[in-house]
Amino acid sequence: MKKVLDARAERALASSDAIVAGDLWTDQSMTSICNLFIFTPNPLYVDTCVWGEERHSAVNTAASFKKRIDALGSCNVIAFVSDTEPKMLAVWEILERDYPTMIMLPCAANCLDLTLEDICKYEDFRSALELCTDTTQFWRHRYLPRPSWNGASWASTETSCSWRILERLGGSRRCRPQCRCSRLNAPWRRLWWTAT
Amino acid sequence: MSLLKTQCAMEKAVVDGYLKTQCLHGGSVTQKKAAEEVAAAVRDEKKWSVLALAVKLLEPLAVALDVDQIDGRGLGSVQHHMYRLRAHFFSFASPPGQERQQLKDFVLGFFNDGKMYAMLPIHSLAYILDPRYVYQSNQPTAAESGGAFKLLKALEADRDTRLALSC
Repeated sequence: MKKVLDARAERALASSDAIVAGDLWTDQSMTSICNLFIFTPNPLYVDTCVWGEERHSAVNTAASFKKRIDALGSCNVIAFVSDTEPKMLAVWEILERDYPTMIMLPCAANCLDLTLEDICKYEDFRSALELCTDTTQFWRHRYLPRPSWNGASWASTETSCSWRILERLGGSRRCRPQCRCSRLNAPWRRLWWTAT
Repeated sequence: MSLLKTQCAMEKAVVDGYLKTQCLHGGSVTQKKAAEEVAAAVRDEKKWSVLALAVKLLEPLAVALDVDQIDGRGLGSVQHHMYRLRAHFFSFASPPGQERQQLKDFVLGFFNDGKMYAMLPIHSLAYILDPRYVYQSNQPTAAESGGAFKLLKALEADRDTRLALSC
């Protein structure tokens, strides 16, 4: 598998067709982590960096990306993609200064995902979506009306997932005990406890 | 169709089988009450019609999201999807009533906010240069084109760009 991925990365670099992207997050132990991606003609995951410092800052984030970009060869990287939170915009400024030929791009999927999330806040949709998520969470764990349901296609982003739930409540994939009771709203939560 | 199938399955599930034997006809008072509330929520036709409306409204957005995530290239397609989404949200036939305009304003407001963050002059430039969209009826506005050509001139004039292009 590694050989396949390496070969794909090399091909993208050879044709100067690589785009570096990243996403910052913090785990439950408050460790600052950065997922770094290389987008090639087909997206490709490459590296996860664990921060030495306690917090992400524009400076240490930019330094981390610069290290990777330099390792790939800065003239092989044509663009940098990230979300548009203020810290990443500050990172853009640093990278633009150091790599003037590199294009900074906002992640369109992230923006669409946020738009989808915002639209789902519409009062009528919100209450109906709660029914969806509660129903799905509850039944997925209990193997019940599954035969009548189509397979849910879980998209890679959480809000897109809401839409998929909406479209095809439930799933034909083997249910895994991943239901979180705390995510359920009353009365599903009460039913959860009483039916367990 | 799949939402309708699910609705039928859910309604069936709350009137027979597991829920009936283990919750409605057995267990504690709290359990019975919770089961009745859940059954009532599942049988609420208004919620299902709202869900159907939401599916119809949001489907193009979910499709655009999937397409953008599958294909990491082709910056012009971002602008293309924005045009399609704007047209869809603008012409979406929501049920008549007082809330019709409210829903449209709500959706278009958030769409415009998202667009503001997602779109840069590079997207308009890529759209203008992308042969797939040359004959499309939707073309960048004067302001967008102005930004795109300003960027093109800046790229053309930049020494580093010329050096990068000549590599």
